[in-house]
Amino acid sequence: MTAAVEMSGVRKAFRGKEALRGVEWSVPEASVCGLIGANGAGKTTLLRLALGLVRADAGSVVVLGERLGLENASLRERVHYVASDRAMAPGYRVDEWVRYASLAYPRWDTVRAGRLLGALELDLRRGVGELSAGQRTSLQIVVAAASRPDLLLLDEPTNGLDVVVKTQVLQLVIDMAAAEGTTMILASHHIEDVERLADRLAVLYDGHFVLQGDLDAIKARMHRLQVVIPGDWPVELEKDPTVVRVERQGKVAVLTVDGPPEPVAELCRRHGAVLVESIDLDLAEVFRIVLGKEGYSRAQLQWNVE
Amino acid sequence: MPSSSGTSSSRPGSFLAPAARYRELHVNRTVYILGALVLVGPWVAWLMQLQAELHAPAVLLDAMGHGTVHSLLASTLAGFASGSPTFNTFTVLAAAAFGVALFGYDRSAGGLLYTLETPLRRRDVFAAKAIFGGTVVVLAIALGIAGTLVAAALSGNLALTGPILLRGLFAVTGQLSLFATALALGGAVGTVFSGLAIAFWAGLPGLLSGLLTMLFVPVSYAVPTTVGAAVASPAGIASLAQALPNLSPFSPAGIGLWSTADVLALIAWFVAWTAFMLWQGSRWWQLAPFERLGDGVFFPFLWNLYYAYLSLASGLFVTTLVTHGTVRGPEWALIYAAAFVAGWFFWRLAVTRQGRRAAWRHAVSART
Repeated sequence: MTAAVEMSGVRKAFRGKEALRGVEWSVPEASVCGLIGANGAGKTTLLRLALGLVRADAGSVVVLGERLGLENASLRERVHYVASDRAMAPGYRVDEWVRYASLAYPRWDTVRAGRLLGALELDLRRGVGELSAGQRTSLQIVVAAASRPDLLLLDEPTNGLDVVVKTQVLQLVIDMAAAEGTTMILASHHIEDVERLADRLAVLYDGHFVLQGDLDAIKARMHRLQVVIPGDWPVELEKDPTVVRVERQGKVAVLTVDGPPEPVAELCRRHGAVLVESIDLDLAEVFRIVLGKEGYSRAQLQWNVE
Repeated sequence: MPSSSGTSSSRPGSFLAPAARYRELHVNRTVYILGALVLVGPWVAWLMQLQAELHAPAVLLDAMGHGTVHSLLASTLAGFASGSPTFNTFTVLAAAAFGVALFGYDRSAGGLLYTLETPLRRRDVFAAKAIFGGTVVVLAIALGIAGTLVAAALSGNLALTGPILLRGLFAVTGQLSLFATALALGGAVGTVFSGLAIAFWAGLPGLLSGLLTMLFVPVSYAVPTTVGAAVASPAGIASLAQALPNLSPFSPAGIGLWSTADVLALIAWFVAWTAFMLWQGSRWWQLAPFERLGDGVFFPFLWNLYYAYLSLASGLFVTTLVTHGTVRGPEWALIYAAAFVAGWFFWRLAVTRQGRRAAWRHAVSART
């Protein structure tokens, strides 16, 4: 399978502070890759690298078969970047910005643009600067869809969208990926969006990937067991390297296992467990576990502490 | 049925992409209109003067020592052709400010960084500004020269056509060279820095230092100075004000009167300089790191030029204060060099401390 994005040994520093340190990343064509990470992990930098806007200090970046150079404008005809929560195109009305985009993108689809502008109820005569954050994101989505990109980079695309528009936008993205085989990279803190859209997952922490691969495979690798052990708590469980998290409340415990669950279940039964059952593990929990292993955690905030 | 339209912004062979053209005229139209007005302004004033002289009453002609309108305009137009009235600091700075504003306004209000996320070649962004801005500069001067030629024809001074055209060519190439320099700097560094650099180019530190000196040094002091290659006569404060512009070989503010051959040589130099600055400016703009496009200085080494700029101005001021016009020649230059070096370290320290303080404030606000 060919890669839409291939990064090797990529490093990037801003004012002496390393944002990316030796990134190795491959996103197969026609896949939807969820990119998650803690705040400041380097997600936006990574997307801007893939867009050819920011230049890497070291390493190689190949996007849609093109090794990135100085301008990369021809690449951006096929790669589109959508980011919410920012000012965009001040001084333009919606129709003027769409007009500009129609001139800039060679594969512009006028019919699709018109249809989406209507569906998202964007007023063509309004200034872009007057739009709400959600409307600005909607406009970006319209332009992205009408430019028919091969690679769509989505940076927190659902921020500021109400539930109805969010559903509309996500469905559009899913349709684009399915109908046109558009490769998508979705950077988001909304893990439920990632879980819904992505077939691959990459977890970025402190400027490097700590986990990447097929989403189902990643989820299949991690398990959660609820056990009830009336007797003494078996110390072996604490020492088992596959048991990455233990939450105990009296005799009941929830174990998170990174690997096959059967050996751990068997160990529990040997120590007199009266109940061993598998419970669902969501992606948010996987994210917490993976980052927890890297040492990323926060103390629980206490209200009204002197 | 989906339909495709539009053209690639980076289609091979297209000199200026339609998207770049549309964007430039849309975003910067206010700057172009204001720039045109400012550049045309002095020429309109000049043409109004010619108009008034064309209709000067006989009494006024006698009072001015000219028997006829032909004679009066012959004198005025000859003065124009020799370079004195219109190619002054104002028009020079107007062309430069126009060049700086084209990038400055775009950065602050035109969403320049956002549009770079689209398939817009940076060199097209630069080329659009150079083409449209250059056209405004040329048209403003062409209008003035055309009006001047009409006045020459109406007053029977057709013999001055050649000198007037030469003067016009000089004005066009001179202002274009300043415009190109400003545009190149505007693309490579932030607006404030490029504004300062252009002011330096036009000889402003010398003028500023001269004004400050006039405020602080008793005018009775004659200031005989030798600064670099420019030897100024001991004619007082004015010579000091002119000293630094004379150091800058490209500064029209430091140029006196010339022969036709000198003017032609200078025109050739302006043309070459304009071409070089447009090429270099486009290159700088393409090389500027995206993450620094919002900064005052895109390339960190350029801070050294900033310190040098401030040191040149402050050094001249300090030297004049210290010497009080009693020192001349190499000794003056030595003191100036010392003031310059001390100034360089002083400004570097001041700017660095300011930067650290700003970074600290930013970090504190980010934490809270």
